[in-house]
Amino acid sequence: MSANRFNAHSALGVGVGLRAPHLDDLFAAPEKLPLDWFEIIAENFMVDGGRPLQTLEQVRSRYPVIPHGVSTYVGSAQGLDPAHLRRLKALVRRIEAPWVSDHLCWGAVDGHTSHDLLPLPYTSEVARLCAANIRQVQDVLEVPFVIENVSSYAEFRASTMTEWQFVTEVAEQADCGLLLDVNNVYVSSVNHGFDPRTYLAAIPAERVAQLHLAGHARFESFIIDTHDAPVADAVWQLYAETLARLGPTPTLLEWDAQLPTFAELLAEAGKAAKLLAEVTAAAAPGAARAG
Amino acid sequence: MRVDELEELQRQVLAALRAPLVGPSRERTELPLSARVMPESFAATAERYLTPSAALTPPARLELYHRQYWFRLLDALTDDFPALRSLLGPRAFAALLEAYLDSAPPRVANLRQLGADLPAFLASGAVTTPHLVCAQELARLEVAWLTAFEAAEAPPPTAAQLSTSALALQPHVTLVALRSHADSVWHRANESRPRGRVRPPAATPARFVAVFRLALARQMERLHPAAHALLASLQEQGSLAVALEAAAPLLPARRGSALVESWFRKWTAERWLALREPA
Ligand SMILES: [Fe+2]
Repeated sequence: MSANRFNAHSALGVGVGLRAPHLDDLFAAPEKLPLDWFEIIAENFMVDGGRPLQTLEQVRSRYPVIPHGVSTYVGSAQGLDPAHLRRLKALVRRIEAPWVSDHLCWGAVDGHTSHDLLPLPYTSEVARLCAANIRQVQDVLEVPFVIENVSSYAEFRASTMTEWQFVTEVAEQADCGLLLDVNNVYVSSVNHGFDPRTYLAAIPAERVAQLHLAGHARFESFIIDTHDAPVADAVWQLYAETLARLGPTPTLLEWDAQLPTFAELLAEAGKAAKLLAEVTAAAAPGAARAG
Repeated sequence: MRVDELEELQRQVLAALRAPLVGPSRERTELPLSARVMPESFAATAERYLTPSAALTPPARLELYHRQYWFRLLDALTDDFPALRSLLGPRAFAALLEAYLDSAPPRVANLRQLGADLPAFLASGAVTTPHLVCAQELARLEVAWLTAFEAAEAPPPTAAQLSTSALALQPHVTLVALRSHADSVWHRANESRPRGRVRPPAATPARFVAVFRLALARQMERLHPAAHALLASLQEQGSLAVALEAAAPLLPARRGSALVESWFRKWTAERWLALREPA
């Protein structure tokens, strides 16, 4: 059961990323959509006023909203940006977020930002640095800070361990939760030639606070994590296996480009909800064990 | 790998991402053809730090990040400056963005602020662009439009505070002085886009406009030269008395004070004014 201290013991089911083109449909919808929650890109709402903050209040009056950052860069060798942390904390306070997530990656140096989620060399020293940065974020935010595995297209010569060993080492040293992106594991497994099941089986189940699902673009010899398509069959399969291992876990469908209609997005999220409901029923107290 | 070695790796990789876009990656954008070549340091950085995969060499792997870096930034700026793009045409516009991104790496966390320095870059004379004056003015209008979207709203002055307190404009209000037909170009470019209330282009070019936010919708409005002088003075100095003096020579001889009163009624109702933050 993945209701744990990293997700405020949440029983949330399936959510989707909040995207501006869907807002009209969302607000026009009858009271309750078949959705449990929304994830927002934190940076888009770390603003001083205007439409974004008003939209946030409107959505929040109906659904839980969890911020997902893209520029905390806990793998930055030069450390964290205090101004960014202050603004992230203000957002967390404003929306009373139960937890916050961002990526196990780097993206900036000397004040220059790449606006990308860049992979790290997997070594013990780098894990220690990330863990120290994550602890600092947690101290500032005062709510659980959960880190996500990124998809990647490159590996470093300096790495001395696998990605799953690295993710585990960071999470344990920082004592933080994990946002396990099943699609990212699959994308990286194809790009780097490992078995995604080995990765998923090695992740400490008790630390998984949330799951991500998304679509990708497959090319001849690699996959790019585009978030612009339905979830691939292979990823649905891994998701079902992951739920079987972890039990019911809050799940978020990401779709950021080539946006579908809101109805299509709900239908895709519905597939996750169906799988999640099956695991929830099986995990419920009193669920039949014997036939 | 020590932390200082990781820092050097991050510095080198980020420098590689800023290398010019060339070859097939460039052809997927609207950038004009170019004789630029990839600096040798790109492949050297890739070979130094990355392993090959079964299918890709280290430089080919780094190139996936490199093109993604450029595509993301070019896309974000293209979304933010539709009118400037319509003035310059896609190729010259993309060339301008490339020069802008070459001149200074992005330093903002919010992609919507990526173009904030584009007006200053155009004014710096670093590039030769067709319709330079109009291009500069459009860039300022479009930055003002982005500012109006998410800028703060400061406490407004009470009626009594109008004459007794130091004043300023609300952060979402931007004044732009024009020498070109930039406002008509802006209106034409935005007609098909549902972004707030847009008025039809006027026959004569505006000399002064304000871009602001009203009930969360963004607006652009022409200003009387005296209204512009008044607001610009308030923005700069904060004193109502000084601002009225600055506007006086530009007011019509008759009914000038009635005009000023009507402006203040509007600016108060639409919350253009703010109390000045103590310096
Ligand atoms: Fe993700």
